[in-house]
Amino acid sequence: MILTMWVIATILFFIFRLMPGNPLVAYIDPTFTEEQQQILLKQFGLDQPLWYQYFVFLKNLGQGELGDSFFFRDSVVNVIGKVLPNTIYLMLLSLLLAYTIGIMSGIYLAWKRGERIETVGIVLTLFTRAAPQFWVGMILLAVFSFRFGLFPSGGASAAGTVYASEWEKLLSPSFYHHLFLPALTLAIYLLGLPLLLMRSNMLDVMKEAYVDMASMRGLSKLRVMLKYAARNACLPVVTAMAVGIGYAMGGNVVIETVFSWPGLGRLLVKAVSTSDYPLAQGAFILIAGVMVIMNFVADLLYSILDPRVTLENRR
Amino acid sequence: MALLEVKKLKVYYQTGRGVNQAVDGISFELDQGSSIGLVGESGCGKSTTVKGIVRVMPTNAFIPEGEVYFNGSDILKSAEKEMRQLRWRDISIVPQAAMDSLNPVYTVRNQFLEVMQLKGDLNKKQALVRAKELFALVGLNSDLLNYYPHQFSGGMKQRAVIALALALNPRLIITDEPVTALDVIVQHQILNELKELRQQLGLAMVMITHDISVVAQTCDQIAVMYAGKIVEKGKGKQVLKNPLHPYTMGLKNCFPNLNQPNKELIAIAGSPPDLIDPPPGCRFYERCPFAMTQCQLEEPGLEELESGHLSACFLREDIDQYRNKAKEVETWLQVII
Repeated sequence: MILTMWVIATILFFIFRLMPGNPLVAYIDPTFTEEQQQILLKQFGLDQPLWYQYFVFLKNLGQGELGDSFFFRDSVVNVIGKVLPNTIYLMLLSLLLAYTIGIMSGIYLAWKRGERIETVGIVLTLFTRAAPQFWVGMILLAVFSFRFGLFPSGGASAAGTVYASEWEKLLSPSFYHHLFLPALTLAIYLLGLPLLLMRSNMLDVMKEAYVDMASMRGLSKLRVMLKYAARNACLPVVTAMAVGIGYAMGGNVVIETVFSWPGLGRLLVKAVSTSDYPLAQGAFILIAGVMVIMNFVADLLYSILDPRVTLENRR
Repeated sequence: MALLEVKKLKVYYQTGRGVNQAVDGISFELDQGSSIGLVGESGCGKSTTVKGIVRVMPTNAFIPEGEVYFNGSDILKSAEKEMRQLRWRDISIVPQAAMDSLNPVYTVRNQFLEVMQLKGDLNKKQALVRAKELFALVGLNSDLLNYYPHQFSGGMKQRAVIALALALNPRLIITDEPVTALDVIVQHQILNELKELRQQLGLAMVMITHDISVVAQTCDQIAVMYAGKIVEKGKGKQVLKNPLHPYTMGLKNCFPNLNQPNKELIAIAGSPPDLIDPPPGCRFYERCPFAMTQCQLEEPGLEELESGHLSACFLREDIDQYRNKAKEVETWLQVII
């Protein structure tokens, strides 16, 4: 895991520095003299040779220090810390929605195999999966926000609201009011994967002898479906969810932009476009870290959910 | 009154190409405490028969005709709810793939307790006592209850599945290829155990197998199935010693015989007919070394040739002569497929 992170950090470090564009452009007034520019470069440490910058970067990273953002003139940890919770709330709510509805509908569609409802369900799912996120977001905005005025059109809070703490934000109804549409949009997009995965796994598992045998034991259909078929079919879906958390962390650029949601995705775009190396690096390292950790969590979960998988050394 | 009476049972599958007549009008009876072996090669409808009797079938299967009387009432007509009551309490099954018939993510104990608590109205404590009792009955250590199915060996799993089938003191147990996946030594042990248990508990049994030597060891009656039909039926010894149907004669040649260890095994050439569009005459016609013109045109019915011994074949006299011929390899080589 540490090795993976090191490789990622190294690639990130060089990729940003090899990209065209000067970080000072976004930061420095063009009227600054050459001398002032050099002083600033020196302050940022950009006058040092690349290899030296790299080792400083690694050393700081090892201490959990990501440097200061060129653009925001604040430490990267602070800048990311401000928007990260918003992304996490958005992600968790939509993942929760998507996987709950997806798994249940997947079970249902597998159960109704061969009936018309199955065909309709699959077509609908493919539609939600294929629809571009920005389009779904715009439709939802047009209908619920502009036409009926049920939900705000953007942002994470009403204008001028300042929350004293994260807790206060989490307890305020207005926050959820704002969260609902973007989360719904993301959930609609995420829904397809667990649903289709669950359905096809169910169909496979339902062919297993133990599912038939459970019926032959005279257990109720619902029990057979849930305890025998779904319990076994959900294993890969749970793994997909853990990995999905990793993807959802960084993949919300479009939705965050459509709904003006102050989250990590938008920050990232800004960081890249302004050549804000430390910020972009920090954000990407965070996303990569979450991915790596979630993959690990997926392995752990699997060993908990499936007794056949053990973490002990096999002979 | 017979415990189980199957009358002209048909189980068909709706497939993309048409209707597969997998089980086509089979009848047999079974008294309380007795046993019958359904023998035949793969795909002859043995397992489908079981599925039809307990009505746990794939969605494309249906029963166009037939009656299945259990304890006097036609269970094909009973509602799914009543059927569910009947399953495992009265009729239990030792499935074909005992290896995969337990849920891999729950312990064996969990699955024993589940069936006993939900179907047997026992509380948890009683169920656990009973589970241990059952494990002892099939010769398993009761500590093994806490294990997951994948931690069991093949023989242990088979024993556990038999124990599970006995959990609610059923009156009929249907075993579908109960020992096929096991090695010969364990096969022998388990067959003997089954026999003892059956006598001890007064269980009736339907045993399904492709191995004619297995039924010889365990069953009172034998019904030989071919392509969805019963072609010969009788007492176990009658059928094995004096087979009346050419298919049974051929089937006997396919398994080693202890009394004639040097005898060559003879295979029956060809394969069973397509049951989506079965031939009009005898379904064994193409593979039969004694086939006559009549066999191609007309289907022979099951007729009682000796007391209690039925055969569906137009060969009704001088069967000894054919039986001797059937022991020779050349006879079976004549069949041109």
